[in-house]
Amino acid sequence: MSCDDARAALLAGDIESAASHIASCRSCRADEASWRRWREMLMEPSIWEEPSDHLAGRIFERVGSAAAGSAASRIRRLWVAAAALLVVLTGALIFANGRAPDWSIPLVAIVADPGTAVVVNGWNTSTGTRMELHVAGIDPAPDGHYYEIWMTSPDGRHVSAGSFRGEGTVAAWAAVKRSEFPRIWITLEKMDDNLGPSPTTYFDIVG
Amino acid sequence: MDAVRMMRRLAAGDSDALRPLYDRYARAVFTVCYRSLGERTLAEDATQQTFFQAWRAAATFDLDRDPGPWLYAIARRAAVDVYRRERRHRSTIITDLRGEDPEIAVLPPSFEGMWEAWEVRTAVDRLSSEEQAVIKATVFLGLTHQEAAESLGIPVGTVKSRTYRAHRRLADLLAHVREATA
Repeated sequence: MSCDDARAALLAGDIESAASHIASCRSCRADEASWRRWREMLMEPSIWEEPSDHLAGRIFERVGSAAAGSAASRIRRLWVAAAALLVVLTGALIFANGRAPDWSIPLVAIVADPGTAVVVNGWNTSTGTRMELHVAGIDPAPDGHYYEIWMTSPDGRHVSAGSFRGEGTVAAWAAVKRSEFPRIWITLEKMDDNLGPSPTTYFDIVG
Repeated sequence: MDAVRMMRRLAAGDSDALRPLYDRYARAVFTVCYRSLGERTLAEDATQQTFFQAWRAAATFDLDRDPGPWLYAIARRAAVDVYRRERRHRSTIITDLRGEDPEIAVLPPSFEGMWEAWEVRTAVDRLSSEEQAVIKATVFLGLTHQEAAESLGIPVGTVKSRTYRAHRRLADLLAHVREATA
């Protein structure tokens, strides 16, 4: 009798026919208890019981509901973001002390939640650039931090145009022309001695 | 559908990919839950919880791995949760004043050998339906070859040869468990 025959015999409960092989085979002797245990498991109802026919349906229904809930939640967030943007744009048109902005650009969320929105209205003045930012849906800056608005030239020179802590309307000024410093972007800054922009960009012009 | 493709689809959020996972593993999941909890209703609760958790956690699954052990781990956790939930519930009903904390209670012996039960069930599922029938008749139901032949409507000789082949196949299918636990 081979080892395979002996193991099959143990599973079949045919101890007698496997006995002489097991007595002479160290490997099978070492494993005998396992094979006997699995034989006993084959006699347990749990090995042969089937889940009810309804169970699969219940599981797929639950998963389907949860998946639909997630999708609905995503759609709700998009609607909130769209509504926030509409409010921002409406405010932008009403604003400007009677004078329409010279330019208006939306900033795209880079790190911030995609549901947040920033629109920048700008006026080109004789002393530089005046801006008004409409910020919606952004989390307040953590303690010891603030958001900073930057204008950057194509050759990489940065000028700070102001800072803010959270959503709302933000007035910003910079003593440079938008035509020379076209990039407008926002970073989250720590209140420290470093006056340059941090590596993390929250909003930026994309395009 | 192969396991990697199935898990990749599930990880990508395709809830339809749960069906092939269920078809392949539901019986093994149900077996370990039923064996440990001892009641069909509770076992189905734990099985449902297992597949729901698997669906939710699919994005974290390592696609290079076999989904079987991963699903087993979720099933075991689900069975333990159901056991503790029931224990808490029953302790409340009978106003158990023994001061035992159901959260830290030692699991009963039925929770031992769960992995081996998973492997045995998986091996049985891989037998043909004819092989399963003769093993069930002769081992689980304890019928003689003659009785099994009458019950299954096949000749005694066929029962004998089929039983022999089925046990050989089972031994092959369980060999890796022997090596893993030796």
